[in-house]
Amino acid sequence: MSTIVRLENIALHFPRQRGILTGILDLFRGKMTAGRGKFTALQNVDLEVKKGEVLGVIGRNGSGKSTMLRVMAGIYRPDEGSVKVCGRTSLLAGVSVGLNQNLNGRENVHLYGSILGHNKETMESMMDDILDFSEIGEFFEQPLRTYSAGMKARLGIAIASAIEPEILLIDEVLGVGDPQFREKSKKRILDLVNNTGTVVLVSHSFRLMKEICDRVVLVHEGRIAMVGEPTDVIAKYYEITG
Amino acid sequence: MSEELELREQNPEISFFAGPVACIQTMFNDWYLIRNLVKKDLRARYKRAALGYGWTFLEPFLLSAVYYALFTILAGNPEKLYSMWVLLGVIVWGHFSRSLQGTVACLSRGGGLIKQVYFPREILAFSPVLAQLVVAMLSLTAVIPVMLYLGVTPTSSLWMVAAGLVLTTMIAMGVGMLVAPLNAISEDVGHLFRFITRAGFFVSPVMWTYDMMLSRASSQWVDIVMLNPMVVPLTLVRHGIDGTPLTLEMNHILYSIGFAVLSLYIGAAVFKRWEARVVKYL
Repeated sequence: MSTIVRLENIALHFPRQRGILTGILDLFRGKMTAGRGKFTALQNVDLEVKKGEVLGVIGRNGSGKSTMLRVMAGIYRPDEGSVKVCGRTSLLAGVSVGLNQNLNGRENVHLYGSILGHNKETMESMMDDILDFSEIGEFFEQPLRTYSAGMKARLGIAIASAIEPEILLIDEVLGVGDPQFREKSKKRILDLVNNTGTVVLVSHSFRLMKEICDRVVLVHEGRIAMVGEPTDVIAKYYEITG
Repeated sequence: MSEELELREQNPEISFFAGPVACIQTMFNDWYLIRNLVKKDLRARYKRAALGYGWTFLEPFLLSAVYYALFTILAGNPEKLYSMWVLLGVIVWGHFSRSLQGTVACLSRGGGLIKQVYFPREILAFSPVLAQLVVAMLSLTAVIPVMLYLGVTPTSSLWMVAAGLVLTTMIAMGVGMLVAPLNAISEDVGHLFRFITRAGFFVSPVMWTYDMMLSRASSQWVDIVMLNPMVVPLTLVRHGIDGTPLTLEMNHILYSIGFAVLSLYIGAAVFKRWEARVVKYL
């Protein structure tokens, strides 16, 4: 199988404080370096994602899983090493982040869809499917501020999961809505996983990892501790974390 | 045998000079997103107001009435068209100050979105300015009843209104994009620019006009005042509406155009160079 995402010797550092002078110096230096006043989120990360595989990412909270996903998505530019991809990535995270309180459901479909990089025609063609999946009925023409939290989450996940990208990155978005909708969302995401081909999934659900992942990566303290079969990597996770 | 796929860097670092070109490409390629964000900004502005967009008309009108009364108390009876000049000054300066502040804060305000989805971040700089441009154009309708009352009829000089608004937009967007990455690091920059726009109100021809300044100030002061690039756009809009001949000197007009073009070019270049670096500060 050919490589579709390649992370080579990635390091990513964050500032601990927001000082204007040190910030300006960092801007002129270009790449941030490890050291005083910096926090290293990722270090020596080498990883290849193969075309067509479902790769799981596990690790404790704050280990660098989500940051690694955001490096793949192009949100963070690494300070060392390089990240290269083939095709368009789409990150599913925080499903209501692209929604706006003052727009109605239909307008939010256009807004969130355009933020995710889709065009008007694509979003128009998905409108009925999104309306049907989100189960918000007549509220679709009402401003989002009149929705319940569950309805917003349903609309968000319906939009975010409507289109199949070339590389799908998922960061813990399967826990929204009531139990029935969670089950429906999980099925939708699994369909997306099956149809998309290449998926990188961050989740704390080890059962899901064993169910759908070809390989799993264990991230620990910003480094890759292990890559391998889901069962072996999950065992290693328990070994490391106690 | 496995096929070799062509791997590419996402959002690669580009040269300083390629930044403005990339911004123009984004403007065309992502117009659908820009339009949706402008719509969102406009909807948010008057979401809970019964008068809604009526405020785009009413606000400059009421402000102008206050400034007119203030000026009359301080300086005696003004010229016949003074009330219209103040109204135009308030509209154009309002467009400039809100566009500038919106662009300065675009990265820090868009932090939540920037950290969840990758999209060309310069879009966040374009959308508040374009939304403000729509508001400014709606506000200009407030001038029509004043023109009718004062007996001012539109002339072929109307193109100067568009030229003044374009220059204002370019200056606000250029300067805003230049400092937006710094504001993402520390919001002190945003506070500083709020002060600058407030102070700028008094040193720009909002309550006074270019011709008033020429008649009262020494040539040394005129040279200093004309360093303010907003004098020309404000004066252009006024002459565009009242149809009187333009008294601005050509070197002042060229200075303002040069300032607008250069600030937009450098602002876009700096923004594209630094936006990815400051995401970590959001």
